[in-house]
Amino acid sequence: MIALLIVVIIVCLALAGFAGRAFMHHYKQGLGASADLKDVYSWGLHIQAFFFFGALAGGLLMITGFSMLTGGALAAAAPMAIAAALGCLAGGGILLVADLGRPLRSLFLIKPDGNKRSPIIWDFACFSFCGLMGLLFMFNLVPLRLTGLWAFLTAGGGFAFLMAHTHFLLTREGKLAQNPFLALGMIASSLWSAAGLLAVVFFMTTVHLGSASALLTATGIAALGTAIAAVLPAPGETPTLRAFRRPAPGAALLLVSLICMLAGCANGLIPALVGLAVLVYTFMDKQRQLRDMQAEPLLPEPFGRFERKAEYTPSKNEWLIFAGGAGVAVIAGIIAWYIMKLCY
Amino acid sequence: MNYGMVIDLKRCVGCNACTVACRAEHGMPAGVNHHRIVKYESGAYPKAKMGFIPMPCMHCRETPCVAVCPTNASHRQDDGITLVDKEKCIGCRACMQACPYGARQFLWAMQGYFGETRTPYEQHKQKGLAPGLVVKCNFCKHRLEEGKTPACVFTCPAQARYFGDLDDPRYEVAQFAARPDARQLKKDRATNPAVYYITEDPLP
Repeated sequence: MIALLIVVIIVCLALAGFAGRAFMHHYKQGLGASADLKDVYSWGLHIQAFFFFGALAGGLLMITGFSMLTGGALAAAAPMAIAAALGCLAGGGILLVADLGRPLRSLFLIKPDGNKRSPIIWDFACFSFCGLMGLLFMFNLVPLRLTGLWAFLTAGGGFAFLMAHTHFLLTREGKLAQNPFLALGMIASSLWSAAGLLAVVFFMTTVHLGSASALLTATGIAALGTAIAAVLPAPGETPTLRAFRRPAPGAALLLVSLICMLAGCANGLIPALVGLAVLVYTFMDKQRQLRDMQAEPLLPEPFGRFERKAEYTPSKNEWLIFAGGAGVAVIAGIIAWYIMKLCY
Repeated sequence: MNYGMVIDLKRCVGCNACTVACRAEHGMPAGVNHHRIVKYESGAYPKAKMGFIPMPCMHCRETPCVAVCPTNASHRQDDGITLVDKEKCIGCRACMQACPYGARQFLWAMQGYFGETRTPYEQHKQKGLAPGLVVKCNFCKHRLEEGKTPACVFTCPAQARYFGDLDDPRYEVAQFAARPDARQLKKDRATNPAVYYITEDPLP
C-alpha cells in the first residue's frame, strides 16, 4: 500500500512538474501560444476541468454534510470525502488560475471592491468558503457541539458552489430559458460524480464504509432523471431517438450499479470501475456543456453564415496543465488525508 | 450625455474602410479588430442580394459584459461608453462569453502586423497592452476628447454613419435613432444597444 502510494505521488509530482513547465510557456508567451482557443471559443479544457473538479468538490461536500446531519452510514467516510474535496478544490483552483490571461492578477479576486454581480466573484467566494470548511475539519477545529452546524454549512457551501457554477454557465444569456433543468442537472451530476469518486477511493484504500453501489444508484437516478428531462421535447415537438443518445451511456452505468447493489456487491472492483466510468462521463458532460454554450453562432442564419466557426481541440500544453492539475488534486488529497490522521 | 451611433445600412457598401480606419487608429496586433463587418446573403436568384452589418461594440445601456466582470475592469462611463481598464483586467474572458454581439477580443498573442517585429507605430499604439487582456471598441475615446468623431465615422466614404449624443435632439444621430426604421441588433436580449441601424430589411 505504501509502495503504491509512493508511486502515485511520484507520478503526480512528475505531472505537476510538466504542467509547471507548460504553464511557464503560457505565462511568458500568452494563452494563444499554449492553447488552441479563439475569440469565438474562449473557454476550453482548463475551464472544463475546473467545472469538473468543482462539481466533484461540491458533490462530496454535499454528501458529507447531509450524511453527518442525518447520521447516515457515509458519515464515517467524512474524513476521506473531505480530503478528496480539498484535493479537488486545489486542482480546480490551479486550473482556473492557469486559464486566466493574467494569472498573477487572480489576487484581484480577493479585493473587497470586486463586482458583486459577477458569477465569478460568487464562484470564488463559494470556493473559498468550501475550502475553509474543509480546512476546519482537516485540522480538527470543529467543536463537537458545533458539528451539526458545520455539516449544515458544508452542505450549503457545496450547494452554493454548484449554483455559482450554473450561473457561470448562464453568462450566455437565454441558456436557462432553453434548458430549465440546467441547475438541477448540475447538482445531480455532481452528486453522482462524487459518489463515483468515493467508490474509487473506497476500493483504492480498501476502506469500505457504506455501500458505494447504493450511493451510485441513488445519485445516478437523480442525475439520469434530470438528464432525460433536459432532452425531452417541448410540448408540440416530436421526440427523436437521437436526443436520447446523450443520457444513454449514463443509463448503462446506472443499470450496472443497480445490478451491483441488488447482487450485494456494495464495494469493490466493479463499483469502483463504474465510479471511474461515471467520472469520465461527467468530465465529458462538462465538455458538452461548454461546447453547447459556445458553439452556437452569435448571429442566426443567414447573418452568421460567413462568421468564424467555433471549433476547438485542446492543445498538448492544455492537456499537460490539466494532467498537472489532476496530479496536484491527488497529492493535495493525500496530504489532507494524512494531516487528518495526525490531527484526529 | 449618451454617446451613440446610427449606421445607415441603405448607404453602407460593405467596403470595410471603417474596419481599416479602426485598425489604423488603434494599431492593434494582427488578428485583433475592434470592428468587423458581417456580410450575409438574402433572397434567391434572380433576386439574391448581399447585405452588410458593420459591428462595432454596441455600447449597450444594459451591459451584460459589465455585469459579469469580476474586477470591475469592464465599466460603463457616464457618457455611455463601455471601456475595459487594462490595469484591472485579469483575462477571465467572462465578458466575451456574455457579449451577445462578439464585440470583444482577447489578446491571445502580440503579433506584429508585418511580422514578428512590431513597427514603431505599433509599439507606440500598443503601449500598455500585453497578451492576456481583453480589448474592445471604445468609440475612439481619445478622438472624442479632441472634439473629433470616431475614426470609422470620419472615414466612411458612403457617409453611412452618424455619431453623437443620443439624448440631445439637436444631434443628427438622435433624430435618426428616433426614426421608426432605426433598429437595434438582438433587441430580444434587452441590452438596449446605443448603435442603431437604419434598414428596411429584417435584422437579427
